[in-house]
Amino acid sequence: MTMPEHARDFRSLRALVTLTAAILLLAAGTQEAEQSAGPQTRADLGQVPRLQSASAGQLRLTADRAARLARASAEGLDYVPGEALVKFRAGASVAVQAQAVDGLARRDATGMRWIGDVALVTSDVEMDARALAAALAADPSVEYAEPNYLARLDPVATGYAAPLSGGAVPNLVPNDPDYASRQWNFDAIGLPRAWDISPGGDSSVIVAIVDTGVTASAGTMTFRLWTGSSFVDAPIAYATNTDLSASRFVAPMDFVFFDAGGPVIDMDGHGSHVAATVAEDTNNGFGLAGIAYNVRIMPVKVCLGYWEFMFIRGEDGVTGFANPDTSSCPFSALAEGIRYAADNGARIINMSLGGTGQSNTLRDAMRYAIDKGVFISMSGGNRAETGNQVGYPAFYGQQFGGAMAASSVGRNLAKAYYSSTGSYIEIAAPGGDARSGGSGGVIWQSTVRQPDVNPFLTMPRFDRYEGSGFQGTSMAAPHVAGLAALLMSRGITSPAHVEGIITQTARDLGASGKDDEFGHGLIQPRAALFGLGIR
Amino acid sequence: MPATRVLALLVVCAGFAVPSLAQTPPAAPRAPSGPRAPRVEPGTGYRAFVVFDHVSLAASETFDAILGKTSLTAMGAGGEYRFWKGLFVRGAFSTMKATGTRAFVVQGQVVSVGIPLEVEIAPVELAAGWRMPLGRSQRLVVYGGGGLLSVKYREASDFAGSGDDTDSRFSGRHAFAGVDVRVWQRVFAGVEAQYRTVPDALGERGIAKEFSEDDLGGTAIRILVGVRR
Repeated sequence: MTMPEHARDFRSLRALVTLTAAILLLAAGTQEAEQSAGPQTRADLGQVPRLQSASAGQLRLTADRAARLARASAEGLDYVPGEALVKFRAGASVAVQAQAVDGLARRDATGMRWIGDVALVTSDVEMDARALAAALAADPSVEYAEPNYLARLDPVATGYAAPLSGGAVPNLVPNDPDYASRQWNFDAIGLPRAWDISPGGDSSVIVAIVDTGVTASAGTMTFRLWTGSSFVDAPIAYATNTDLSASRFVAPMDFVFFDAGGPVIDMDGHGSHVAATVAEDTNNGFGLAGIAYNVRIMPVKVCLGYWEFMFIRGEDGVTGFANPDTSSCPFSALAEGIRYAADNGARIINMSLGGTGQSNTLRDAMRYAIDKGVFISMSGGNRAETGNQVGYPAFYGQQFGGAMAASSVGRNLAKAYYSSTGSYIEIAAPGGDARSGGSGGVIWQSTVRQPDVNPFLTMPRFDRYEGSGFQGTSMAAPHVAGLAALLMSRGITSPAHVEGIITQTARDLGASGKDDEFGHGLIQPRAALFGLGIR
Repeated sequence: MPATRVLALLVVCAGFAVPSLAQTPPAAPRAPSGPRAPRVEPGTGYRAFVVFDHVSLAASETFDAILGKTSLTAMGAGGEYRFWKGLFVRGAFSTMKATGTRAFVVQGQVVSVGIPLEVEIAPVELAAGWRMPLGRSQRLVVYGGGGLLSVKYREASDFAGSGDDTDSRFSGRHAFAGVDVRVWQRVFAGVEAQYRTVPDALGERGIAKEFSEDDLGGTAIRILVGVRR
């Protein structure tokens, strides 16, 4: 990732300030440690014995930011309170940039961090991010300023779960024992015939899962947790998916919870489920199958859920429980994650998440990735019955050749009841519909055992996996990403070409031609891979 | 217009032009020098020949997208029977094969998906024409004609399933003109230009549909070598 020279200079200045602040914080932390033997703050967390990952980094998530996110959740805000993303005009000098932020500083702006060519500015006083952005945008050196919006996972929970079966099914391809009974979605798009052409894709292709994380290592970490009556130091186990080989992970990165060097842990199960649709181990006589089962997965964690908030509350000594419905994916983290994936070899990015705020930062990050040859698949949104608001980044898909927003169909190939509609829907894929199909109509993949991460537990664990039935456009998007991975494995390098092929070969559903419910229609992997002959 | 088509056109023009010139009286009076050469080949006769065709396909964008070329080379054979005053009937066949890869057209660009495809085009010609010798020696003969085509078209791909491959026959028409020369006793060689049209053969669902090309014909330059009697 390159950065303008003036931005680097400015960052050097900030680094000096940050270093000073860190020394002061460290001194304060030492004093606190003398007062209490147990880990009580996030600074102490780094000193908690770790059985597996002694070198794991500090937490990126601060108590302050967690509080902002909790406030956003409690008040139904679509942005992080007190955070704005600012892009300065080309040619704006370091001094001019500093002046703009200094102007804000008089209104108590406290921090600034660069994400590509965009600065994340934080204020401790002006919590209305729209007002904060407006104040920044008034400066002539600012190209745009916007609230740091939030995306959410909008999961449509089903509660369907079953252990993963063992034992290959003879004379069946794939031989995964739960395939025939559960994965109607792959048959619905003719995937077995597509596998004849591209059996699972190629390991040279990397798919970034920008989501709640996909656990890429195993170990135990100790977190301080509120149990309802007291705090306990809880050893929390985490492990990789038993049906997704750890050797297939590449360059995992967490942009919201752990700092660089820390593990990437999926504490929700959403990211693991999405990754499994793309790439779950297949023909291994165990569990379920994935679409592109030879490609590699880049876990990029940009979303926080209930347990992340509980851990940070515990470390900060805050009693009580977090909002169980909390899921927060700051656009700043999305933008960082997208750029990171593009810079580190990902060819496809899947983003099964969405918010309602328009963001130039997010759109610029998408453009950056597509320009680097990355295809982006996005969920179209699950808001059909809750106002059908336009979702972002899904909306931006139509502005780029090489990014697509997917709607969801159920087992009967009708639009799923929750699936958002709009002109930005470009393609449809199976996402499941429990209302019309019950447990047999949802998308089954292996993921973190859902009872283990239930918010009503006092102590979670992230080291056990089972088959879980999810539904949502979150599940549709990885079908598109998986198909893109198969296409890129066959040598299609341009994201725009991938989109063009997926569009051309889609099976038209609903109104003739492109429509707001299904876009161009249901993906047809076999037709996309087979191409056209002469006649 | 591709060079081959231009060449073909020139040959066709030449084919028709030469008989006209042959009928034009000489500009200056010449002394009689023996009996006048007949303008038709007398009696009946036959010719049997092998052919080598260079065919420029009408569906050029389609074939270029899949095969990476717009023309094919064919080999075949044929025969003619001259039955009355230079009129003849002809039957001939030829076959051409090529391999390419399946593809899409996206934003005007051809995107190969890397799946091999083999195509075979085999026209059968039934035609009638007229031959006219030139010069006193009658070694040089120009001819022209036209007739029907029945073209076998076969397309096969790796990974093809039921209904993916094509093996069909289509009808069309063709016209031709050429000149041949006796090179040794009954052995002759010739060059011929053909125009072929086989409409509605392509464009069903393949890449030809993307280019709105439906004609399996084209223009051909044909080399003939054979014997006559």
